[in-house]
Amino acid sequence: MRRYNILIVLFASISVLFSCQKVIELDLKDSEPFYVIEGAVNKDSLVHTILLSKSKTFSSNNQFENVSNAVVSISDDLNNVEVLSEVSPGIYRTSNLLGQEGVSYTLSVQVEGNSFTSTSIMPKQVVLDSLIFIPSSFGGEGGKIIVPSRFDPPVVQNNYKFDVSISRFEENEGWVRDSAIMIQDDEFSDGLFTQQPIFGTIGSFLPNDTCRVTMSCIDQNVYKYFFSLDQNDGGSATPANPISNISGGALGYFSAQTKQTIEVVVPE
Amino acid sequence: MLIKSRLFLFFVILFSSVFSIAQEKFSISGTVTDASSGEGMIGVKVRVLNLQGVGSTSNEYGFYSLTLESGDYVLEYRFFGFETIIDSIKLDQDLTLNRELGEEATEIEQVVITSRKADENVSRTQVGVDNLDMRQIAKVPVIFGEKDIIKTMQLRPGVKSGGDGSSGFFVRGGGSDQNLILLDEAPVYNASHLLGFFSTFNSDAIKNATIYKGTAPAQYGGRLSSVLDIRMNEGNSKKYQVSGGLGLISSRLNVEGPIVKDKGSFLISGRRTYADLFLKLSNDENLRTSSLYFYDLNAKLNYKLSDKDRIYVSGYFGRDKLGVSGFGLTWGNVTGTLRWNRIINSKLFSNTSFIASNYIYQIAIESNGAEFSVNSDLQDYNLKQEFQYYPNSRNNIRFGFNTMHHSILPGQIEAEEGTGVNPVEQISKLSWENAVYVSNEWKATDKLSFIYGVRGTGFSLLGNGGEYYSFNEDGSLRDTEVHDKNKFITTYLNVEPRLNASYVYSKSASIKGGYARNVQNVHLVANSTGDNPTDIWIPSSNNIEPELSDIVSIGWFKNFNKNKYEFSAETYYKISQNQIDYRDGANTLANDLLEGELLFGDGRAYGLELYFKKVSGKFTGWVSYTLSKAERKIDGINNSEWYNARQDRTHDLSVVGIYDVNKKLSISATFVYYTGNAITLPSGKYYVDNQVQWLYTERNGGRMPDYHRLDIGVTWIRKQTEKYESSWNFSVFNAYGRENAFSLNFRENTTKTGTEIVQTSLFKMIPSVTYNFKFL
Repeated sequence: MRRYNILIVLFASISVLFSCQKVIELDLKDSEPFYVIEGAVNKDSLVHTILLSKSKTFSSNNQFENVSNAVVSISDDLNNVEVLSEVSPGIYRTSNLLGQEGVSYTLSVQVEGNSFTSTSIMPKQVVLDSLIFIPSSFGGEGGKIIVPSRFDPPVVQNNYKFDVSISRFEENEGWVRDSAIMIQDDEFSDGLFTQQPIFGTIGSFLPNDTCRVTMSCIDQNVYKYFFSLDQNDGGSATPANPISNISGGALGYFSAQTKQTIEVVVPE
Repeated sequence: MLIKSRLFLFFVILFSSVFSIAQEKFSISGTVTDASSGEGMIGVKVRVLNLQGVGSTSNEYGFYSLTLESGDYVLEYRFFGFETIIDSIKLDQDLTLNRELGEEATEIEQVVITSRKADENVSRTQVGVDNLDMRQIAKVPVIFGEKDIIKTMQLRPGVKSGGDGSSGFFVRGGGSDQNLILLDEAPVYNASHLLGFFSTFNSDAIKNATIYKGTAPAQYGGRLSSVLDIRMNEGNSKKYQVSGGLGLISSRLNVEGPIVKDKGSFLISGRRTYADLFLKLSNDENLRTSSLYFYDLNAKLNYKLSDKDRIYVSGYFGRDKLGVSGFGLTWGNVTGTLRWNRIINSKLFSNTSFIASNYIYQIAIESNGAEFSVNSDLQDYNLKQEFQYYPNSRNNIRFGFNTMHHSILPGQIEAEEGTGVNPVEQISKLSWENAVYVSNEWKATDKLSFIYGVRGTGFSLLGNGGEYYSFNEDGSLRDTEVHDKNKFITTYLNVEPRLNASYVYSKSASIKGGYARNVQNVHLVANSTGDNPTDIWIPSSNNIEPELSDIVSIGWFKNFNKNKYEFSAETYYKISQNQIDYRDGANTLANDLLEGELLFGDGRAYGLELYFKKVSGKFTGWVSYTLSKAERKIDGINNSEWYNARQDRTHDLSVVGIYDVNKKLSISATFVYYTGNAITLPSGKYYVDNQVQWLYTERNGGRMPDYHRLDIGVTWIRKQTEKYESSWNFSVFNAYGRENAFSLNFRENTTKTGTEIVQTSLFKMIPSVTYNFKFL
C-alpha cells in the first residue's frame, strides 16, 4: 500500500490560503558523478534493455551523459547467459533471452574499471482486471482518479508498480501528456479483490482523456527501491537516495518483472 | 561498584548537613494567596529582614515554611508587581501565617516580564531555568493575535522554535520529543493544534510556566532535554468572573468563581477556531468542503477540606479535526489530574496526585464508498507522591515517588467490507515506569547554595499476550516470542544525579553551575519536517535502550541599576546516548516490525546563551541570543560520521520590546532571526524512468535559507472599571512580509532543460484583531 501522504495533502490545502512559492538560488555542493543503471527483464520478451548513464551536478543542464563501451551481461538460473550489445550510446540490449516467471536474473556491468551486479527474481503474474474511474474533487470539478482492480493472490507477498500516463487534447495547448510511476503492495489487502485508488504526482483525469496503465509485478527489492524513492516526496526531513538493488555503488535499479498494459478513454 | 558506593556516601554526607543539632526552634508556615482572586501564589519570597540571607519561597501551591530559633523577627512577603507585606512577629510557638498580597497600584500599568522578584536572576540557585507568567506575556505579539505560552517561550535563550506552523520546540540541541510538557503534572504528548499554528495551552486557563533546560531538580524526569511545567489557574475564590476574546479565526471564553467563598473555586475555559469559515469563501470546491478546526476545554475545581487539606481536580480536553474530500484526521489530548495537598505539620507538606493522560489520532480514508481508518491511542496512568520537608531555614527537602503505566497502541487498521483493505489488529504495548527521588535545596552560606539530589528510575516493558520480536544487525527479523500479559520482559534501571550550585559573590552578581543526567524511556520517532500528529511514540524495549544524556552548564548572572537590567550568560555541553533514527526507506505505517527499522547512535550539543533584559519602566523587553551546535552520529547514517542534527542552528536571536505609551495604550514588537535548519540537499541529479532524480551524498549537510521576521502588536484598553474591562489587540505577524522558507522542492524547470529550487513559504504578513472582555 502506498503511503497516504494525507498531511501533505491537508497542509497543502490549508496553506493555499496563506502560502506562496518562488524559485530561489542555493549554493549546493557538487558531487563526483555516479553511474546510473536502469534495466528490466520483462516476461515473455526476448529483448531486454539496460541503460547506463552518469549523474551530474545540480546546476548543470538536463542533457545526461550516456556511458558507452561497457560490458553488460544478463544470466539466469537456467544457465542462459547473454552479453548485451550496445545499440546506441549507453543503451544495451539482449536479442534472445526469454523472460520467465519464477526465474532469477543476474545483471553484470563492467565499465571503466568498475563492476556492478544485481539479481532480481521475476514474480508470478497477477492479472490487471480492469480500470475504473471514481470521482474525486482533487484537481477541480469533474475530476476522476483511477482505481486498478485485481485479485490479489493470498499468502504470497505481491508488489505492484503502475506506470500511468495521460494524454489530453486541450484547445489552447494541443496535446498535453503526463506520466508517473506509482506502487502498491498487499500488506493490508492480501488475498482481496483489491481496488485501491492510485494517488500520486499525476493530476486527476477528465472525461475523454486517454489513460494508459501498465501494471508490473515486481520483486521485494525493486519495491523497496520505489518505496524509498517515494519517501523523498515532500515532507521527509531527511531525503536519501533510494535503496538500490544494485551492488557496487551504482544508482538505479534492475527489475525482472511481468507487464500488462490497459489503455482506455476515460468515460463521462 | 566502588563508584556507586562513593556516590552513596557523597549523598549521605550532603543530606546529613540537613539534620543539624536541634536547639529550641519553631516554625512559621502558611499559604500566600492573591488578594483579588484567592489563587495560591507560586514563588513568593518570604524573607526574615533581621537575619540576613534567611528566608523561604512559596511552593507551587503557595505553601511556605520557615524554621527559626525563638525570638522576634520581621518578615517580608514580596512578589514583583504586588504590594509587599511586612510583619513583626514574636516566635515562641509554631505559627501559621496565611497572607494575601494585593496587586500594586501604579500610575502606569507596569509591564513585568517574567521576573518574580527583583533579583531572582541573580539569587535563584537553579541554573538553566526560565519562567513565564501569563499576565506578563499578554502584550508580546504572536500569530493570529492569540497569546501563546509556547510561542513566547521560543523567544527565550536556549529555546528554539520549530519554525512557522510548528509548536514544536528545541532546547539545547535536543529533539522536540525530548521535552517533557506537563499540564498540572499530566504529560501532554502533542502540544500543537492545527498542525502547529496554535499550542494546546489556552492562555486564559494558564497561570504560570517554568522551563528547565536540562538541569532540572530530581523531582522531574523522563525526558532528555527539558521540562516545561505548566500550571493551570485555580479559579477565583472571591468572586465570579467572565472573560473572553473574539478573534478573526478563534474565540475563547473563560468563567470562574467561588464554589464557597474562600473555600473553593472553579474555572472553565474553552476555545474554538473557525478558520474553515474562510475556506467556504474559496473558489475551489475541494477547499469549500474541507473542515479545519480545533476546540479545547480546560476545567479546574479546588476545595479546601480543612485548614490543612485541599483538593484540586483539573482536566484538559482538546480535539483537532481536519478533513479534505475523503480524508479525515482527528487528533487530541485528554488529561486529568486529581490532587490532594496536605499540610501534615508546619514543616511537612504533602502532595498526592493521580494523573491520567491520553493522546489519540485517527486517520479516516474513504475508499469505494466505504471507510477504513488508522487508529492510535496512548494512555498513561500515573501516581505521584511528594513530600516537602522544611527542617530548618537553610534546607528544603523534597522526596517522593512516581509510578506510571503506559499503554500504547501504535496504529491499527480498522476497515469496513469493500474497502479493499484488511483490518490489522494490534495489541497495546504495555510498560511500567517507576521513579524515586530525593532533592534538597541547601543554603550553605548566605552566598553559596545548592540544589542537589538523585533520582532512581526503573522502566519495564511488560508482555501483552502478543508477539515480541528481536532483530539482526541489518534489521531483519531474528526471533519471535510470545509473552504473557504483564510479564516483565526487559527492565532498565538508572541513577540520575542532579546538582545545581550558585555562588552570589556580590549583591548583584552570581556564578551558577549545574550537572544532570537524564533518562528517557518513551521515544518519538519522526521522519517529517513538521510536527506530525501521526508520529509514533514507542517505549524502550528489548530492542530500544533508554536514551541517556549528561549535561553540564555554567553561567554568569548580573543585574544592573538596582535590578532594572538583567544580564546572563550561560554555556552548556551535553552528550547523549541511544539516540534514535529511522533507516532509509523505513516503513512506518502500522508496521509490527517497526523496531527493526531503527538505528541508534550518539548525540552531542554545546552552546552559549546570552540574555539581556530591561525589567521595568515605560519601555521593557529583552534580547536573547544563542550560539550553538547539535550533532549526531548513528551507525548506518551518513557513513557513520557525525552530522548536524535537524535542529542545529548556529545563530538564534530574539528581540522583544514593549512600550507603554500611556495607561491605556501599549505598543510591542518582536524580531526573530535564526540560521536555517540543517537539511539534506541534493549534490547532483540523474535520470531514471524518464524522470530527473536527486542525488544525495551527505545527511543534513545543507541549510535552509536564514529565517527572520518582525511582528508588531498594539494593545488598547478601552474601558477599565470595577465591573468591566475591555481591550482591543491588533497585531501583524511578519510585518515586512519576509518569505521564510517552510519547505524546499526541487524540480525540472518549465522548459525541462535544467533544474530549479522552489521555496514554499507559509505566512507572508498576517494581520489580526482580537477583542477581549472581562466581567467582574
